[in-house]
Amino acid sequence: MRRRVAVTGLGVVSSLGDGVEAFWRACLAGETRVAPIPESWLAYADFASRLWSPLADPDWDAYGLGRIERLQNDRTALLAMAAAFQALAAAGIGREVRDEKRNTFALCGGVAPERTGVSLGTGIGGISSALRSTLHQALTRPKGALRGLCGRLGDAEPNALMELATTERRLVAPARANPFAVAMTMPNTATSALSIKLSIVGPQRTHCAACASGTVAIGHGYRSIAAGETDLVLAGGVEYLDDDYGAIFHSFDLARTLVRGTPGDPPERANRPFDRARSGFLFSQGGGAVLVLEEMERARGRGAPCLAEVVGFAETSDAYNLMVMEPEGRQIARAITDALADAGVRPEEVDYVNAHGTGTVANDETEAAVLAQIFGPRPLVNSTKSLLGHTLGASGALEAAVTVLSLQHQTTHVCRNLEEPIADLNFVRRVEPHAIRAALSQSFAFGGHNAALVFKASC
Amino acid sequence: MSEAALREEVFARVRRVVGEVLKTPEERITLESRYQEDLKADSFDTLSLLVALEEEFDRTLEDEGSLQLATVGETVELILSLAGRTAADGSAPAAGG
Repeated sequence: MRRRVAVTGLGVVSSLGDGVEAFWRACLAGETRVAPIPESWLAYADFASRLWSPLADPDWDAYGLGRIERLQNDRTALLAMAAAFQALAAAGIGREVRDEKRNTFALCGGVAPERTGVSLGTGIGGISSALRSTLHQALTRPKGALRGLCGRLGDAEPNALMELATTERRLVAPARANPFAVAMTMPNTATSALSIKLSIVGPQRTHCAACASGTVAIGHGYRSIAAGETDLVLAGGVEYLDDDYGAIFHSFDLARTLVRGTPGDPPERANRPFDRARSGFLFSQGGGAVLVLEEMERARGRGAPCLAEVVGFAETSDAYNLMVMEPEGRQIARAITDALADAGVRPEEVDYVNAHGTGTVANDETEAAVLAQIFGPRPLVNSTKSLLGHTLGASGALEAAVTVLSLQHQTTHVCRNLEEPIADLNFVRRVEPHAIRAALSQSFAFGGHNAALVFKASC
Repeated sequence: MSEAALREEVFARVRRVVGEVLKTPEERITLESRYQEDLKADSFDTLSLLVALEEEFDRTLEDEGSLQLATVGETVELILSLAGRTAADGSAPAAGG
């Protein structure tokens, strides 16, 4: 018999706030954080999109993640730890120090480490660390050679000297190699770091499914508990995309996927999922969310808070194109209907859909058509990306967190900047109380990954 | 700054970093402390010490044989010698800040 799975804790680090309370308050207020891309990037390329959503550094020291650990870990690993610490505290699961030198912990409250797992998604893993390592290797000696050349030129050629010096300065690279670069670069770095940090010895799995990674990771965490493999799983997604050159951003910009601002319009109005004037997605520097998934009877037995129940999951593949969604959305529709079947929930019982809602012209069109076909115009629909922008592999986890919060509080956030909807769906236009019984969170990704999670309010 | 004062300052900073990395009370760290035998540093700790000391003194130590150092005092001497070399080169000093 399939075991039931409760969500007993949430943790969030995002451009809208560090911590669930601040995050949810900002969501309900319809806030967003949009800024021009760093001016320094403009020296390296021509950008069609010049807006992004930067991520403020959390107070790592407050999480007990000191400067030594910050040197040893990729930012995705730190984000996973911060979000997991929040989630465990919310679930009422304490930590006791296991190894002071390594700053590792054991979970309290009768949590068996052998029956506990980690399931995290990430789109591009430790790419920022990989780039830093590469840039150090590639540029350190050439920069030295350029400095030497400047010295030899003396004042004989002042213009050439200035040009050389400017070129040398623009070749930004970390001053030193990092001996932890291999571990920081690997895609499983966040999953493994979290497993070590909390002495979790059950299965640790990293799901790389591009923008669906977080959703897929939570889905497989749910299945692991439902099947009896584990009793508790820390499940979610993390992403951190930053480099001194704007190279990662530019890759998405070249693919013509990113939002374009309108001259004279405030940047906060540019990101418009499901609006006729949408132009692409808002690139987010990163974020992360972790859910504590727990076997229902265990959760009840220890009097844990039950924020929502995970009742269904499914994933499908387009088998169509690495970068383009199959326009008919056939496999998207199948992911949704399979997830509903897994949950034993009929479409008319779904009161809220947290859409993928990127804001790209083609994706929103396809998604809206699929939603209309399966659900009609009744359930509430919003796009958390209208607030956060797109955090790639973290997005599904952040949106699952919003879905759980919406079920918990029986309300949800607006679809920001939606003025002229592209479809006759029940897009959320203002925050008010709603009766939300079952809710869906869905993600679609480069590579043709489609995934959907179904949650219920009652536990 | 006199040589003795500089040595004292570098030692204080090295001791702070070593204490932070190895979670050892600073008063137990002396110039004679041996990393492996006295401070129980393993290979992972050695790498952690390397990056932390490089960060502290804002310079590369990896190519200077830092991984072979046996005692805290040898680390202090290495950093002082690098500072001396930097000063002789006329560039910014590595230690003293």
